[in-house]
Amino acid sequence: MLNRSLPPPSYAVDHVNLIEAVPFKLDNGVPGHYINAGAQPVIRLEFIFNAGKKYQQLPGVSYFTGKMLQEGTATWNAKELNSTFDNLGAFLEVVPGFDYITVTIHHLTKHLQQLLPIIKEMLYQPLLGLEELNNLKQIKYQQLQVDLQRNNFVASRKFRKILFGEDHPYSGNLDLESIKTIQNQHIKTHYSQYMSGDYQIIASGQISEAQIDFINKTLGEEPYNIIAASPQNPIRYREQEVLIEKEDSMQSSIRVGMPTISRDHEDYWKLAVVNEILGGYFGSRLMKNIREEKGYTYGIHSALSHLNDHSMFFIGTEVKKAYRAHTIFEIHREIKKLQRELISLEELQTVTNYMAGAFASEVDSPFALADKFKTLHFSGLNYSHYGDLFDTLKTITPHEVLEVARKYLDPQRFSSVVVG
Amino acid sequence: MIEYQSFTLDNGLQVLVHEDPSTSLAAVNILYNVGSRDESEHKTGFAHLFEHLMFGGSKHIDSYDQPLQHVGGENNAFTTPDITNYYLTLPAPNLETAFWLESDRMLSLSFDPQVLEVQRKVVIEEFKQRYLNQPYGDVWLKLRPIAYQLHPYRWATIGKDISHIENATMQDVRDFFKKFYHPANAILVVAGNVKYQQVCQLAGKWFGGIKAGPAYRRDLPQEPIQSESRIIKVSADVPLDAFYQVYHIPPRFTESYHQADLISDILGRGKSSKLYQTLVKERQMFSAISSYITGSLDPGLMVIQGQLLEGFSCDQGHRAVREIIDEMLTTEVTEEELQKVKNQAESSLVFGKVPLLNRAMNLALGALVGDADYINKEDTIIQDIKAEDIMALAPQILRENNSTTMYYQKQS
Repeated sequence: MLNRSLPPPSYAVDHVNLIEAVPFKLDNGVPGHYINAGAQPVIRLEFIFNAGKKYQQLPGVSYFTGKMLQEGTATWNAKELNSTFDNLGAFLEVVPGFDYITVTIHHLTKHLQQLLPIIKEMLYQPLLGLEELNNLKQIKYQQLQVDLQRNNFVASRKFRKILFGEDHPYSGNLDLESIKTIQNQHIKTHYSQYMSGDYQIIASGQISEAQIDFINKTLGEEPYNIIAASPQNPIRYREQEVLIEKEDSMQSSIRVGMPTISRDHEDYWKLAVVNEILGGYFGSRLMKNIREEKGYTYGIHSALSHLNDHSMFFIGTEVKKAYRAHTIFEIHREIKKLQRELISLEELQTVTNYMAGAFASEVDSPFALADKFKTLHFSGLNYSHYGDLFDTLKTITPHEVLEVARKYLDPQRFSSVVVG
Repeated sequence: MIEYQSFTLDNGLQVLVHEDPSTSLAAVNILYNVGSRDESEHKTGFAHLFEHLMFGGSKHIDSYDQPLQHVGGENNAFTTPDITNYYLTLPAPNLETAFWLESDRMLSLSFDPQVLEVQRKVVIEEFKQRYLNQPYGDVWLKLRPIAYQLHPYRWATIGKDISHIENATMQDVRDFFKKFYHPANAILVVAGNVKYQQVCQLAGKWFGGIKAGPAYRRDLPQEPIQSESRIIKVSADVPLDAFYQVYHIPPRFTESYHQADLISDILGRGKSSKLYQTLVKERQMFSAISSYITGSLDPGLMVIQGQLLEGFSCDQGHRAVREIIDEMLTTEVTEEELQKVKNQAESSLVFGKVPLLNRAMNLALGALVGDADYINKEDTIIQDIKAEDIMALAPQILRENNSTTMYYQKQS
């Protein structure tokens, strides 16, 4: 007779074998890494520029410079450029971020040779035309109007402003007024200062030395201008509580948190475990309390978020408006609990097992492997960082959880934003 | 080529196995043959509410999530108008835990009233977060009942109205479970670092003893052919006017479905498409516009949606879209254009096979309509489509009296 009350035997994941990125250099010195993995004949090419928000002179400059790459080159207008990608079933995406502008192309391996010359022209000779810019500005102006109606969008922006300081480049939010002030000259200057010939390549998928050679042949003769790193911008953090009331809102968007340690800190993985317990996974204490016991929300999460220069810890949720104060009260209560009561061994083991399994599932495609590499690479870490994760998962004790929660989560220093 | 093997247990449970030794994971996908189309019109949103209840403990196991997380697994589920799909991944050596958990909740739920009360609230907050407290969030709540007049696709999966969620009873839960949640109404796919023999043994051990339920016969009112163009104008507190237009198309897993897909791609997929090039770039009338199809198992919809730029009305947008459609209907599709959308489709299919879970889900959906191997045939079917096929089908779909148009206007 089958005993359904007893779980089957199980095994802990104590390590994960990663396919590591292989470094290469183009003849001109442009650095790159590639990961050859996966059963499907696909490639993801990423060109990463140190040209994100952090470097911009005015809000929006980095965003529009990135987006303008798709708007035509010296030889091809925007229509021809985009048709070429579409004709080959390739997906082109430019993501202007806080630290980097990333140009990503997903395509079938067989189309690399046809795509690369066009990519080259897009990266080296973008048109940066006035008419195209005005069209993009008009479109962005409208999209932003819609975004500004979303409570979670407004809450996240306000929260970053508090965490990093009004004047910090990371808080340089694009607002409706700043879109109007962007001129074509700003775009050209940002491009020539930060994007002309200084980037790195991350390639993943079914890609081997032959393809790398071809990339080198196509791009390796262009000039490589190394751009001096930008100075670090110190943050000016002072805790604040902000309420943006919206009469007709059914839900309130909440952010609570504070600055935190970076990935290379010795306590990093321990703090990651603490974060996981609190709100990092579906079975977390916050999810159990606020969603599964009280039904106040569809979801509540906590996270460690890392930019190049600064890191933050925060909790985010959308809750029924009537419960917003009580939700913040419960968030503080859960944190106090972590700091005062030792976690049971069983709960701790669930969390560490879950994190080990989740890591294994996060490296399950060539693109995911590349993402894991990028995390290391752009934090100045190497693969032993992930070895450290598994060491921490094996050895962390309830006392350490308590200590780390006391050391890095300080409700006195928390800021909160409520919108809606 | 996605390799798989399959077998069926005596109680009717179909099982498919896709071995992929390159991963350290196992993926388990259970598709239940029930979606919001199977709901009563007075109890809409129930299939999705029920999905939440499936995580509230089963006959012998208090919590579904905790034991899975304890062995390093993660899971989720979704409900569509057609199906309810549960999926998980976990380290392959712990595969049996998935069988233990999934079989117990197929055997019987806990039917705990407290779980119903809490999940009712959670789903109401989900309803608000996704559909009511978002600009344009209620478009489909309003558009579906106009585009569909008979078929149950006329309500959204979240439900017609919050009151339907509020009124759900435990008896409804029990009845729904009995009717839909049994072996013959489910398809189990096990994929990843697993072996066929191992899956046979585990399936027999954990699912074999579950009693076969009564076969579910789906007998839904089919949507009559539309013979008049419909229009609905709504206004809401949004910053911009938006335009939506839908046309009835053939059901998924048919050749003409793929033809309809290519037609929508020619019209509105990507920046080189007709709609985007003309209306965003050349005429600068829209800030965004695209078209796509819903992948429904019963006849679905081709959707054109866009946001108008300040200074243009929905009416102007509507006329401009119609001009482009009329031009498309009277001009031959060029080989280049056709090749473009075929290449886009090929690319999407290949990229879609990268994640292990996607492969498992696609096998399950194919098996549901009786052809798991469809995943391996789809690309050929698409590549064989000819310009004549497109030219023959396009006027049937894109005729005005097959359309429902929505003007979603900002309050003045």
